[in-house]
Amino acid sequence: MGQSRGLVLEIKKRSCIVITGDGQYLEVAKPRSGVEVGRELIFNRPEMYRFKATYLAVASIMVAVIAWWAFNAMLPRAVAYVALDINPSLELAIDVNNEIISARGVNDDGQKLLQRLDVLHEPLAKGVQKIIAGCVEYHYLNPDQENLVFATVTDAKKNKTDTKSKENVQIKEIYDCVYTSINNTINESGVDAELIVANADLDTLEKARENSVTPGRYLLQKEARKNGVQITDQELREENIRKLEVQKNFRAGELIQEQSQTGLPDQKERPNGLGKTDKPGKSDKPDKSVRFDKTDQLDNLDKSNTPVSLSPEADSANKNNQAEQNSNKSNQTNSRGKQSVPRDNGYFSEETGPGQQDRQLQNEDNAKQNSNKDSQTKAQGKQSVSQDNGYFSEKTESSQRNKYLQNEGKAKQN
Amino acid sequence: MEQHQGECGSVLFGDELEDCLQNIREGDESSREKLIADAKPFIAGVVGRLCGRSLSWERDDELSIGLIAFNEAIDRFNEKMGVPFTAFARMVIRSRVTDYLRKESRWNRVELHMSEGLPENTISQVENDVSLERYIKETANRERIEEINDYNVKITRLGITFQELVKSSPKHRDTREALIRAACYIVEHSSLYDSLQVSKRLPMREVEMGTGISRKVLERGRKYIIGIAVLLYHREEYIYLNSYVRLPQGGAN
Repeated sequence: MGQSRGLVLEIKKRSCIVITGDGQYLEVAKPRSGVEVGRELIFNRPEMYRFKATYLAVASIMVAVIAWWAFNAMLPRAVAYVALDINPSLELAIDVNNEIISARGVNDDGQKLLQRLDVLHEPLAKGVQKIIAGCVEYHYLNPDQENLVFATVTDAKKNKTDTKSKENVQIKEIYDCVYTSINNTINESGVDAELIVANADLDTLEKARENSVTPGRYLLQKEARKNGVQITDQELREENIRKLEVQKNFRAGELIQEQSQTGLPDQKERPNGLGKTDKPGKSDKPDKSVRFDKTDQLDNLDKSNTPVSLSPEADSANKNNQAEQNSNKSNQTNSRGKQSVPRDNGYFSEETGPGQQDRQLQNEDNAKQNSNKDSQTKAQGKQSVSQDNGYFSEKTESSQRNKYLQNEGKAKQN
Repeated sequence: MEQHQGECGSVLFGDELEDCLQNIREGDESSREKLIADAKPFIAGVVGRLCGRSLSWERDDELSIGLIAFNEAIDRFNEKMGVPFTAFARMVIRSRVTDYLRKESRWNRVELHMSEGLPENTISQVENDVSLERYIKETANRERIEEINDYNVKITRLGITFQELVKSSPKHRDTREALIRAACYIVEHSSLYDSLQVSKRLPMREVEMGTGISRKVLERGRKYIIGIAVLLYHREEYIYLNSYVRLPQGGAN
């Protein structure tokens, strides 16, 4: 319908209104030659009326919005953040496929380390391994000193209500992944390091970012304050955690563990708050942090293959225990992977400060004193905890049973 | 063709006017009679407006003069003039009646029309007279502009602007035809048109019942219907607009 004609009814600034032979009122562009009311006007395509300004603006805004949305959708979205405090502090963003989509050095060392390592688009496990290996290589983790690896997993999802959602499962996976990969790498490298894995929520992460520290350190500061230990922001930023521990006389592991224990009563109605934050770590944490009390006894018994033996009695106990262990081989194989951890920790803790050694000696005493009842109940208590937790329950149960049997063996021996 | 009560059905404003004129030119006297008979209300309207009073065919000579002038217009009309026949006929009728009134000298106001009237000498001169043609064209232009301005005033009084008519104007032919049908329906039932004039609202229920067009369509094309109805109702006045816009005639019949 290329050209149409119409009778001009009204003339406006840039257009004029016409009525066509078939009774349409149209607004068309005003011809350059000019028009008068009452004249017949031949015009092109009635579609080109004023349309332009408003519709074009709306259309372009919509296009921009859609483009922005598409762009956002294309970009990988972080589902979790893993912060590592070794001494270099780093923060890794993890996407749905457990790949590292961004890595950021939180302090100078962290930035330096990331300049040397390429962890982008690596699977999380591999990336973490690389970082730990890099730390060993560049002497951030030294075999001849006590080290601390403090990892924090943060769920990037804000609403925590849907406990059963995929993301939560993934957070657990990430948690597990971080834990095992760091642990394995440390074992392989032969460096002594204590490993703490904690869970933080998004608020913590944001607050930590404001202070330009890792969520792990922020958590530490918070927990320390609860226990009456003041750590200033500057110290938190600049000091090595191990040094801080010595200076302020606290144990990071204990603090974080305390935090998880405060969450314990909530375990049954987990979906809110701290209790939930700790959940994925429940089965891990006792292994790492609870060792100061209950697990220590087991650790010591476990230590049959460690070179350090503190008393002949304990040694013989261990030997006997080993025999007992053999009979429980099936259980043990199940729990092997898990056991390696407490063993390491026990080993490290032995090497670390004198205070800890004292504690261990005490534990040895306990073992001597036929405290099988005590330890048994404790182990049982622990078992109930891990059952609550549901996650990893299989593993923990088996290791639990193992430990329980160990205790029994010990009792017999005595 | 029998006389219709509304203007919509009249030959004078119908699509068949051109055919009718062609027939007359070919010597069909019955067509001429039919056209003149149909045109009587139109002639009465034009003359009555000129005289400023209502006239009756029995008493008033002016109407006879108008009738003769209309007959003359049929003979003299030429499509090349670029003016609709009705407009041309109106020009001739006005000119003749003005001449008559001037001769009679009955009214002072006749003087006012003198300048407007078609000069007798020119009208009696040969048809292809250049000055006559120019005169007709100028008159037509002036009348057309007056028509549009008057139309604008009328729709403004009903609270509608041309801009709104553009927005309300349906893009699809089917919708448009339906709305024009609705407008025709209103025009044919002058009570509806009167109520429109008074309330400035479309008598929605009546139109819906009368035409069977859904309320939604009517609602959406409300302004368009009013705009077209005004145009159609003043068929006699808005000769140029109505001859330009070829709306489907007598849709409701």
